[in-house]
Amino acid sequence: MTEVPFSDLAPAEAAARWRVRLDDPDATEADWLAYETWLTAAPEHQQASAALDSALIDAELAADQIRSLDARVPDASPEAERGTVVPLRPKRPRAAAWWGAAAAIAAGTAFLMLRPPLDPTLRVTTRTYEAPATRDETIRLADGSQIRLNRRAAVEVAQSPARRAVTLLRGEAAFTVAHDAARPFEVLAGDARVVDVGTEFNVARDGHKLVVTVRSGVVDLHTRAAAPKTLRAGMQARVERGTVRVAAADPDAALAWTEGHLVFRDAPMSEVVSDLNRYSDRPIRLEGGDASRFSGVLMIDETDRMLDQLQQVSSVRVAKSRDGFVVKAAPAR
Amino acid sequence: MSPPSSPLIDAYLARRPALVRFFAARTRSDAEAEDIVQELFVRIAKVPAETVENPAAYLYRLGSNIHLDRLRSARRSVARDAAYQETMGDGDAADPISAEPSPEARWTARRRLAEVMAVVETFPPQRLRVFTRHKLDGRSYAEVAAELGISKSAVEKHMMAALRQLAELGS
Repeated sequence: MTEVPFSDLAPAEAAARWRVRLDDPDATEADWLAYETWLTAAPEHQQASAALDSALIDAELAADQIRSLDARVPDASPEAERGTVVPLRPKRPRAAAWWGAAAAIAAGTAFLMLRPPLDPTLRVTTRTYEAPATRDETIRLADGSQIRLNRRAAVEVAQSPARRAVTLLRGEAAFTVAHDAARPFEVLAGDARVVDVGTEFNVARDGHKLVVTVRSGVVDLHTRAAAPKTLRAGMQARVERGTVRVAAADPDAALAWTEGHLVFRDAPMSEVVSDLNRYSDRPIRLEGGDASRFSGVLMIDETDRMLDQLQQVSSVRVAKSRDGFVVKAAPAR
Repeated sequence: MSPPSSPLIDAYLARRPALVRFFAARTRSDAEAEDIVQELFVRIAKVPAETVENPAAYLYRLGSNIHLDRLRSARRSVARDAAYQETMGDGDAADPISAEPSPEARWTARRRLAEVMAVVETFPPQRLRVFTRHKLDGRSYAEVAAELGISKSAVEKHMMAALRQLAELGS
């Protein structure tokens, strides 16, 4: 499932290929970033790279000896040295699957933004990341972008020289996107697609519900149901049941989880309980309807302590159930 | 007084964290990465922006050269001492204050040079020619290909084979 370029080769061989590719004056930034992906994939890769650096420096120091060696070799016609021709690019099956899925999302919209690649050697590397149930996880991409996965969130990251695409499979993630006008950064979640060039934004996915909040920069939100929306800093879009609602929102509240607390502003209790479930190992259910709304800050902590906090700052009562907890909202007056 | 902006400096500023991260992975040292990226800025401040075609790739390439420069100086001082000691004898015991490379470091340097020579001596003639011209004389693939009358991809294949053997030496 993961496809780091040259990962099928022995480290020394891969290090050599990378050096040759990067010595070429036509090498691009994408090549260097792909090299970084390979470098950080395994300690043996870094060791092989360092060994090569070392040996080349030594060879320079012994340059005179090596040149005299070369001079001694009779200048015969170049021998036909046939090595096996191994394609420099990884195989494509993974890329084909990705393009296919993306084309399915694009169907029904006016945008043909993703087309099957004409170049059969298009280099796409794909990797899946998951955060455990007990804490969040930060992924740093080769291009400098950062994805902070909240608990149990999962993303699939696909990078090519022309595009960076992240599929939010489930959960919530905060994105800090490194500016690269030549390679737009896209987040795919269900039918929705968030396109951005260089920003900070939060995407929370809960089944078919999606909330996108922008902290800085600009993103374009494409959905099957509605016309594309441009979201600027301080704006939030809620995608639910075929509708997209855009409103002003405090991005710091949406991204507060990255600092260890949850901020709610006039949120329905169902949303509070839904968010709390993300941090709980046992199910929390809401009883008594959704009439109450909550504004306040909760520190992310053990489940019972979080519910304790909630009980102290709101009018709900928390009780243990057979397999978890029940939050009883006070009836509306 | 801040330097005038240029596409190269803009590219550097936008990528500085990415560059530090890359060189930290390359050198396995955060401190070394910071030094390299700092030196990179000093060097690009002198380059007229018009001459650089692909600023981003240029930054990585220049940074790599700086990394190799630093390796080279570190290695040279040890190797130079190894050569010096061979001709002049070991003399006094190493002075702990002067931070000379220890006898062990000098021996390691000599052994490494010997290992590299041993590998290079196994190169078939064409591989040796390509390696010498590209790595030691600093000529581009295109230039080496032209000089030897072979294709650029043949040059690349020879280099790959040579580099693979050198990488297998292990650090």
